Amino acid sequence: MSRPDGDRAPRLFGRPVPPRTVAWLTVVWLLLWGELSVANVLGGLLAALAVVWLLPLPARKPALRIHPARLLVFLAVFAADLVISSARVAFWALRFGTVPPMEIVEVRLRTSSEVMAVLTVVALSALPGSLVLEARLADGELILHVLGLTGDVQGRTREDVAKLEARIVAAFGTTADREELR
Amino acid sequence: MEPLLILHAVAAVCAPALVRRFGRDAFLVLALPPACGFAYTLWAVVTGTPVASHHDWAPALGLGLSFRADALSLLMMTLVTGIGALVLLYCSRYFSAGEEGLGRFGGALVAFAGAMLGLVAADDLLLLYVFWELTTLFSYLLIGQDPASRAGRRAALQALTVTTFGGLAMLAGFVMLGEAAGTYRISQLVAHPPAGGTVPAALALVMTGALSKSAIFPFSMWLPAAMAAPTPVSAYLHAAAMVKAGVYLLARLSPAFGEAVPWRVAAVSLGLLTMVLGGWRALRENDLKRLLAYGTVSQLGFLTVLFDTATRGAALAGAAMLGAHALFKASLFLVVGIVDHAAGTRDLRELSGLRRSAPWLCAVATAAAASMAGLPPFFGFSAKEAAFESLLGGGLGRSATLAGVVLGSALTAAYSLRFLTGAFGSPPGREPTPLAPYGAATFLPPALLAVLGLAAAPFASWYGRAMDPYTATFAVPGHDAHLALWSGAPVPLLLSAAALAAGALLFAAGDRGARAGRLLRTIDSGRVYWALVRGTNRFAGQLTGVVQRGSLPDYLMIAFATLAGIAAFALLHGPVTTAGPVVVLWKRAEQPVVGVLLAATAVLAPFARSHIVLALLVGLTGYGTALLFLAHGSPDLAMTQLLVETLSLVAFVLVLRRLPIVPEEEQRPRVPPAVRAALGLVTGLVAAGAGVLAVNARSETPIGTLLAGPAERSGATNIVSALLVDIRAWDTLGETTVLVVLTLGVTSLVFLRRRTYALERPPAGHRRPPGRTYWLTATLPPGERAAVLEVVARMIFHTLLLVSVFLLFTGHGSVGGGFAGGIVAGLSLVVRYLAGGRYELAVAAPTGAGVLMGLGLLLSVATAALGMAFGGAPLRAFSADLAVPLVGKVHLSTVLLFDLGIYLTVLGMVQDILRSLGAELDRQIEEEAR
Repeated sequence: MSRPDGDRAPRLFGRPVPPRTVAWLTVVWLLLWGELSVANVLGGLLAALAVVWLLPLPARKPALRIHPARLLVFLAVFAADLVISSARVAFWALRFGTVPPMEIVEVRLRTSSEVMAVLTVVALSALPGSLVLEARLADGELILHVLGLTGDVQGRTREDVAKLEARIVAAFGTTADREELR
Repeated sequence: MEPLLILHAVAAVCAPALVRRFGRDAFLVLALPPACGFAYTLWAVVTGTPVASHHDWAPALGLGLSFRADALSLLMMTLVTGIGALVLLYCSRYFSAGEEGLGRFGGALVAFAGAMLGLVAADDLLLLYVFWELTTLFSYLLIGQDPASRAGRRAALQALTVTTFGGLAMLAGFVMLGEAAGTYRISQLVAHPPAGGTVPAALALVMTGALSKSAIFPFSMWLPAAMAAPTPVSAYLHAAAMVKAGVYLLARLSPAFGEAVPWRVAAVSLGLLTMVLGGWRALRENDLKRLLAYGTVSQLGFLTVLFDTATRGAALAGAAMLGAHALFKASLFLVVGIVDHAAGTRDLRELSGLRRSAPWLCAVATAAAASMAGLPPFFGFSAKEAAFESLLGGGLGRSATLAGVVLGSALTAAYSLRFLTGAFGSPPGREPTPLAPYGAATFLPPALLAVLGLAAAPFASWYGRAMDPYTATFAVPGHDAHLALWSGAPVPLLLSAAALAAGALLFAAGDRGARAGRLLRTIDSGRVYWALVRGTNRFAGQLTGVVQRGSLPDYLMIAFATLAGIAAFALLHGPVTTAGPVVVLWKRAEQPVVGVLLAATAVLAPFARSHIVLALLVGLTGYGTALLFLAHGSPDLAMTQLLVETLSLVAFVLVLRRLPIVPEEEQRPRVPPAVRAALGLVTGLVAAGAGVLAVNARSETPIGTLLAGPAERSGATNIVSALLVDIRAWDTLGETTVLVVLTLGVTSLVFLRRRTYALERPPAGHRRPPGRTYWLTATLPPGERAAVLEVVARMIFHTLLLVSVFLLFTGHGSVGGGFAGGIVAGLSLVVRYLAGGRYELAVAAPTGAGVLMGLGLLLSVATAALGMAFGGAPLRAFSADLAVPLVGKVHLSTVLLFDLGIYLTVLGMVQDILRSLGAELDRQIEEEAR
């Protein structure tokens, strides 16, 4: 995930080289090689600089800020959700002869940030059992297809999505984003 | 010999630059290589013959750079180089100073001179063929010098078609001859000629080539048409050099095969026919140049007769005629060029009074024409006397030949007169043509050639002795012939007188003779040629209409049916396999699971109603195959398959936008569905069966186990990538090139109606709507925006690129490589295009797709060249370990350079697909919607 930097990124041979992107790419490089060494760090820096310089993206203000502690919380809950949700879908999939309960739910997001909304959409899509059919980001509206839940599906889903959104904004949101949800 | 040829080549390449620098004076510089050739030839004549040299070129093919200058070659070399130098000198004033395309013209002319020199000096059949075709190509450029002239283009194409047709036949003949003799060296072949077997057929093929090049009937039509060329070209190519190539080849092979009766009779009769028809036709032409052209055709027929009579005397006469003809005909052509430029016309119905306004020019033309007509004391007379004498005696056939030759000579005398009176006479009642001045540089070459035609005559007997080594190679002495200024033999002299008198009568008869000639139009080979061309075109069009119906199902069925046919043939006629196929059902539990899913997908696919579902199902089978590869333990294959499948899916989706969602049902399917299904099943069985049989047919131990060693030596721990970029690097290079060509083909089809391939940048007014967040440089139109994709594209773009770089580097040691890296980098562009549309692609692409592909190929080829330069073999890989402080050991290898080339090429290809199937289709759709 490259983090957008501000307009005032340092320049190299006349082209902006956003330092946060370079740092992120170097980390990815190290993860790919799986070894922390001087050669790999230098190689990573070089590769990152080359990539960013040769194929630039338009510069813009950062729309993402990571809070390490809250990121851990988000990841832990997300992992738990992943397990529960997979088990639920597997349960229904193995009951031959019965049609699992399905429902279409319309959810309204509270954040106005497109990045936060997109992250929520990606997280929802990654969970088995919930699928984003349509995302109207301009209105902050999502249409979900929910599989395997019974009872008050609409209410529970809206509640779950709102909690997920809150965790995401807490982990990745800028100050303005967090103000919005308060 | 080789330095001379190289000198010509260098001059040809530098010609455009020289002309740009010095204008038409550059021709003086360009005349130097032929002049050097002339000096070399003189030196060879003085020091004695033959001069021979040989260098291996492609020994495995038996192809060598063999050159040999014997008497015949030296004669031709003298003509080619001497007249070549004079013609180039003439060019320096013939063209006006600012004429367009002079650089190209000069280059082609010098290149032609070099090719012609190589042709007459070559002592290897294949080498001779190479030069032969080079002269054809350059003559095409020279005849079609004026690209705006339709006649010029048609004439150039006609000359190319006819002589190439002959040339290909000749190549086949050469190969048959060479194989029969066990050598391609001409000197050895002539000394020990092969016989029997395929030799007669080979000779017929070679003769076809020679006759087509020398414009002998039925191939004579291209020469008069080629008069659309600038006059210096006609003087050189169509009098002295190229048309003599065919005659030269006949003269070269005649000592060995002249006794092959069918060959001799056919060549002599065609030569006679050409001599008479050409001469007669020359009597009807009003254009001076075309008159000379038909005269040349006639004389070429004469030469063919002489050389293919295959006696010592006739060969001597032929060798003399060869020289004499080059002198007078080149001179006359150059004179016509001067007349044409100075008087503004070369139509003998319009010219008048030039004898008085240009007396010197008239004198030169008279001298040359006298030699042509065979008047004493010119060299042409000596040659003709020798010809008549050599054809005396013998049986009925020989006498008929003599009669034909005398008739031809009468016609020659008649059209010589016609040329002179037409160009320089003053018919009553016609105003004298105004004449512009002409320079000495244009006048000197024809004057020199004409004077030589007179000055050479006293040396005729010396000339004959110089040709002895050549004439002695003929086994049959025939009637004695003497080459002398005045041989004094009574019969030839009488025949000469008779021919001249008959010529004068024919000329005096004027129109009546010409009208008789018009009857011959029924066998005008030019018309036959164009009728053939039209017929071929029509047939090709109809055949294409029948075979290429534009229906993909039809093509597929033809391909499948062919495959089934091959399989059936192999089953019926192939060797019986003794061991029954051993089938291992599976080795790992994943395999049957994936296999069943794959089969299920394949069964579902034919029932899919819409294109897009079908594409997805086919994609699924691809992904399944990747899984099978993985289960079998080949991650490299699996990853490549996975990436390629993804890319094909993208391409499918991009193209399918232009098709209806559900295929339109054919009104009445030509082939019923059941037959199609059966064909599909058979194809599947054939493919699977062939696989099973192939695996079981293995009788040796697989070499896979032996590969670890070489791979390690090449510094790679990944055998697959060692195979791709080192051990079988040639294959990879070839495949990459093929892929590039295919991509360019697809692109040019999509861009068919457009002048530019460049991606369109967003128009100036194209900005995002105010107040919107904005992730990329461009967005799709408001209704179609994919905000999620935009954000995701921004987030993963650089990361994907970094992964592609990682794959490029890691391929050396583990799964990855330039191909996979290139596709991943391409996919990062795909993501941006899908999110932001065609304007986004224009911004995202680092540079033009063509640049990327070209750079990639260049890198790969440079690696090959590097290996050749320093390692002794193309694509030999080098590697070195550098110790860098702090960092440690850094492994450098040219293999990485090769891989980088592939990476760039593949990236360029993906970009090209996006640009054509994506952006350009978008533009077309937008345009149609408007």
